[in-house]
Amino acid sequence: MKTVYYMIMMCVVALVASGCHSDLEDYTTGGEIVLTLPQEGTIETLQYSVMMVNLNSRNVTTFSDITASGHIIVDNIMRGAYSVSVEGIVRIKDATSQLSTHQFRAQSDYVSMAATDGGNTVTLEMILID
Amino acid sequence: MKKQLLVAMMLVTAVHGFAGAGDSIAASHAAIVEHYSMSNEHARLMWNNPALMATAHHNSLTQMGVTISWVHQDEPFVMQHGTGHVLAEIGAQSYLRLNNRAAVWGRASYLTGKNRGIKWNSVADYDLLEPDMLADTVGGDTSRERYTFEGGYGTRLGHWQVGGEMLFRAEQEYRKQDPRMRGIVTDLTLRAGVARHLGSRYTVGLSMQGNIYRQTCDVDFYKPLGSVPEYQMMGLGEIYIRFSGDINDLIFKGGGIKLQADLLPAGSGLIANVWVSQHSYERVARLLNSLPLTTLYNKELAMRAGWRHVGEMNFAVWSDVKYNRRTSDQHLAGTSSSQIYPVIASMTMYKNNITTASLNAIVGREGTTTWNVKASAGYSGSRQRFVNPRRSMKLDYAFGQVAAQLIATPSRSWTLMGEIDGAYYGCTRGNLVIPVVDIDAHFVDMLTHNFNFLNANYTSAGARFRAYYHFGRSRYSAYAQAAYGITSCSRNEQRHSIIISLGIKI
Repeated sequence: MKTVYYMIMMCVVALVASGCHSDLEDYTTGGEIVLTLPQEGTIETLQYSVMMVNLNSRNVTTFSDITASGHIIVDNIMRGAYSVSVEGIVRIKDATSQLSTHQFRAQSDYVSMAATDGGNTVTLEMILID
Repeated sequence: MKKQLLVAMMLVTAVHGFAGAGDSIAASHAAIVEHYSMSNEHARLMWNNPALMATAHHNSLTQMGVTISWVHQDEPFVMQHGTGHVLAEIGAQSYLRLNNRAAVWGRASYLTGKNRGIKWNSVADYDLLEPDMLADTVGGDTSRERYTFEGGYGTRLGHWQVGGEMLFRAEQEYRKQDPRMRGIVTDLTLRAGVARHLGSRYTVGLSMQGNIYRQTCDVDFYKPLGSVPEYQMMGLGEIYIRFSGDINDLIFKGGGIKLQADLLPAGSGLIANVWVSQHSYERVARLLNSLPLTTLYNKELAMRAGWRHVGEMNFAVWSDVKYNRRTSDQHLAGTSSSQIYPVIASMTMYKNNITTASLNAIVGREGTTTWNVKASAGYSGSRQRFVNPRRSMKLDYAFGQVAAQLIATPSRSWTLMGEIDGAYYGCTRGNLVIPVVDIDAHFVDMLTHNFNFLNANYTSAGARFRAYYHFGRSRYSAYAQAAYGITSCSRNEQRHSIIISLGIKI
């Protein structure tokens, strides 16, 4: 009889434990936007303004900065799917070491910022406007 | 379906013809007292265990009747509940004691009618599925039909009592003008339970319940112009913007399990009960190749402890504590390929913690004239939160209830039952935080309307009168019931309800 009681209690505990659902609270993540040039050369200076629109909630995140490379750090953003738009001014050194300054834009209708480890990398090719 | 329901009700009464022959008027009165006495209220929760339900009553009772229910108020307390209803129900219910070891019970009913003034709610079973639902700004009256079939059996096998029960509900709610919502529900619950006597004083019970739930929900617009967007609500006015608008075809599927343990004395002694359950309901968009949008999790834990005394005067005192946690996970969709969306992440965006505690007492006496008086007092608090963008609603209530019941036999042919009750719910704290600037005005209007009525005080009173006329020396009786209730809100709004029933007891 004791064995029957213990078996019943174990079944109860196992059922309750296996059925419990834990909250999923990995809300934010980070990543990187990598801008590439449409021509040969290296980026000397990049002044950018980024607008990210969450496709699921339509929340808009904007940030601006200056960097010496084409790598833009995205930090503390809600996980999800985004459309990304980058605008700004880029100073380029071409293959003959000539410097030139251009306005640019880069855009994607869909990027995924879902990985929880912050390793979300997006690569966009710049469109030089002038 | 209606023919099958009628056959089920006839079977219920025919079976009783074999089991209950020869009941006298005194036995009829005893059965009415036993089944309706308020003194059993502390044990009704434990009768969810089919093994304990099998020993709940010593007397059989079978009734079949028609009930009309009318509820009206000018402005809804909660917009999703509407301003009232007119419902008619025909049903039969029976509890048959086959012998001193076994009992069988069942119920079949058909309900139809109209719900009035429903807004911001395009699904059936709002209280079960909120906040994950489909909603629009127009709403309107809805028609409703419901079929229920329930049956259970319990018996004693040696030192053990065992029992099983099945409950089935099929329901549809629909609207015949734009926006034409239709929700079709199937809800199946299976219960199994065991119980064992501990010596001669106590019975301990253990039961398990499984539930399977499914609802198909869609909204159509027949007018070529004038359709409104259907919003995928996620809690506190937040919507799943990406799939709100014209995704009008949803499935809600889910279910859950419930475990319950009971301690019941044979006479006087301790009463104790604990139950825990988890149910989940997934909202799936059929038009997007069955993309899951959200999953609602409803977890409950409740405990009861007290003492009852059975004697010349009966009394019971018990405390109830219940914790309910509702959370909703949003499933984030990636980019589509041929209308197939992958789920790239899931996050728990909505959380609601509800705590209720109360102290209850019943005192009464059973006999030719049975009377009971009940008093309750307690506290209830809820904390709703949406993670991002941040929204919250906090509400606390203190409440008190009193009720009195009298069951009498003024003459050999009559059994009369009267009940009165009163309650007060006082809101001790209410707080709403929403980003008013960032959300559309109609969401703000809906939230502030509901909050204003939730952040209010309610006083209610009711009276119910039921009369049985026993035919000669037979076991047959006719009954009639009339009940009236009024709930008054401190926001100058009142809800009136009238319930009338007619039927026969076999």
